[in-house]
Amino acid sequence: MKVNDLDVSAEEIDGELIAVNFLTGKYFALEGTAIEIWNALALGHEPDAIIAAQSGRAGFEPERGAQEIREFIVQLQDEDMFVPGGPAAAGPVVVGATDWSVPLLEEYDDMAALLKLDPVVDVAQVGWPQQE
Amino acid sequence: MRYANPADMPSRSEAEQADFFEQAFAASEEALRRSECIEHDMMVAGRRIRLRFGGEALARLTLEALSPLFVPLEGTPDASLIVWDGAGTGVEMPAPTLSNLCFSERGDLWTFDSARYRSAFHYWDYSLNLFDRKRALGIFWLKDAAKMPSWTRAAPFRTLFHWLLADHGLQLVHGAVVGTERGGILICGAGGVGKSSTALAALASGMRFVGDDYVVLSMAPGAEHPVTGHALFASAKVHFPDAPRFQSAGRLMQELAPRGADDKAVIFPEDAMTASLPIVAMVTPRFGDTQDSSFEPIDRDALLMAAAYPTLIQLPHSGHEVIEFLERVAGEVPTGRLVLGSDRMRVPHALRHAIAEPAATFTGPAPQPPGTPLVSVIIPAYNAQDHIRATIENVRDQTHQRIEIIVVDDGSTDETVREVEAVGGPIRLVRQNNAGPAAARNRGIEEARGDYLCFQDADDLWPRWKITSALSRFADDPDCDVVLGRSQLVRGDSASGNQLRFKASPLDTFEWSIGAAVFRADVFQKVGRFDTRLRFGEDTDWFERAAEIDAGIERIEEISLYVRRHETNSTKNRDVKDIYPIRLIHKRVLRERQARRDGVTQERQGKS
Repeated sequence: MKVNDLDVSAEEIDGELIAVNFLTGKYFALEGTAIEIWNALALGHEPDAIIAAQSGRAGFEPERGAQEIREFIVQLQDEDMFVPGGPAAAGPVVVGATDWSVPLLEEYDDMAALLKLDPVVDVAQVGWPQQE
Repeated sequence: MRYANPADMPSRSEAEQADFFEQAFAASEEALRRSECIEHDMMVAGRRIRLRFGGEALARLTLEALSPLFVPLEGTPDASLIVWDGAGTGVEMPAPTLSNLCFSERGDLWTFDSARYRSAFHYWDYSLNLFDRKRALGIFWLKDAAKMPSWTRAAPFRTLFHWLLADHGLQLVHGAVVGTERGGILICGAGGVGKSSTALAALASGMRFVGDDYVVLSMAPGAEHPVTGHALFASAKVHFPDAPRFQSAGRLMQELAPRGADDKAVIFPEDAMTASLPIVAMVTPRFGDTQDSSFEPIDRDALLMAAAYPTLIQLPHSGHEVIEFLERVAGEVPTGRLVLGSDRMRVPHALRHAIAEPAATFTGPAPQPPGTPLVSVIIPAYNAQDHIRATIENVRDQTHQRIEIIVVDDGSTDETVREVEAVGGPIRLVRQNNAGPAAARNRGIEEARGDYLCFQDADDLWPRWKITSALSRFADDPDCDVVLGRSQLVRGDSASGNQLRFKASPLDTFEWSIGAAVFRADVFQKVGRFDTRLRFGEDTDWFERAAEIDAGIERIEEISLYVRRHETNSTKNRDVKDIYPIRLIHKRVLRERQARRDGVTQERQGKS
């Protein structure tokens, strides 16, 4: 899979990864292992490869940790942060030196307040608008 | 993802807009064929308008508000409106081939801006409004008449009336007209200032009632009565709790319950309506602290905006001509402010006295803000050679004249500096290497000596009242740190603001423009300056930080900034990621996270 470059913008700032989905208006903060998994997916690594790489980490309980990674990846997909496609990764999955921690997607959905809506392009859905 | 301001979208061709109208017209004729066509003629300001209803339901629902102006069917009307709904007729209305971004808040359909075909879509009643000016032929389509809201029943086809009457030199205005046999008072202003309760109190006391909410104005300069107010809708709106007080004013529309906090009860005055009255005065109300009502002088521009703004944000395709029309009205009749006393049923007494003695009532100079504070106007300029001169001239047109202009040239590589020097007069020109608008504004703050500061982008314009209006708000409220008005997208180059072509309404424009605000100088010590790490979004960030420390930001409902869209706007052809940089969003995350933690802490403290 690959980052949904069309709608999503992501950048690491001060040790956090901030990701915005301009289409849904949600934005997210990721730290620690969540950033590692994000970066591994962005490079084209498969979930199984990421789980395998993380499994040797201190504090990682194989069954539970694998479940946590899979759930986290499903969350990213549900939020349309990642979409199918993209080239497969070439190198190994990079794993941090710290202990394992549960990957979290910290969600914020008050984008309207943030952007205070200067109109941003949306999908060109032609026809009658949705009733407000 | 590219940033797209709807104002930048190319207009659809005349042929495409004509084709859409013809498709809608064909569907409308089909709807009339399939249903029982009910026709009524009504006379508005001396113009005969024929209403052709596709079915009985819509005719019945709108009858009460319109029927007092009905006349027998006769001859050729000045304009015709076809009115129908999809559910009742079983006919589909073709959808315009527009993206959902084109459906604006006010109703204008972005890119449909033909001079001949007017078009609008209203979310609030899900109606399509089309008007062919050449044939004086309008179409009003609702998805389902059964879902028609009370405000549409109170003021049916308002947008279409606005367009067709404008072609006869008549202006629809959000306001009320009540009076006596001598004439009427035009009462303007935003919702909630006491307009409707005044009109209803007058109606209940037996005064003449031309309209509440919307009235039609005609002008005849040089005539004995240069301004006349004409009735359009036989309805008045009032908050539900107040409705019982006005039972004698007319019949209350039967509604089960309010459909929201903003919903109002509708009263139909029925036979008590007067078709027209000469206007003897134009006022806007405010709530006073005495029992009796009175009148006081008002700044002409303050009245103008109080009258024009609510009209501008409600009527699609309306523009600067509304301001110009009301300016002419204010030039023909006495103006003032109606100070509403706590005993609302005694307001008619004050109105009657004003109509009988206008010269004695509307007298005295307009109030001035105390003192004449120095206002620093900071203009960051980067490669602004095409607009900077007009912008400086526009700033000098302010009614508040005690200003210092500081232009901060942000490392322009064009002729911006030469243009500034060529303008002449007292301007402080400060030059710096290119560092972005936030840094340029901060440099201006360092240089400023004023009690108040405001910032103007080098390509935007101000209405002449912007600073005066803000200063009067500061004078009213010592705790106010920032006065923030609304922005209006425009095209055109007039430095004075006249001849500008408005694009949609302030409702469709960015709400937090630095250029629409006036700041107390010391607010930057409290909130801090603009974040120079942000090349875009520094305005949003500043207001977020100001809100975080509870700075006093007063929002005013008037136009304080004309935002020019042109070929070189800094946001044009940018990626959304540039406009809303991740750093800005990161700052928001930190604030939100802290707020959540504070919330959890407070919750725990509350439990313990």
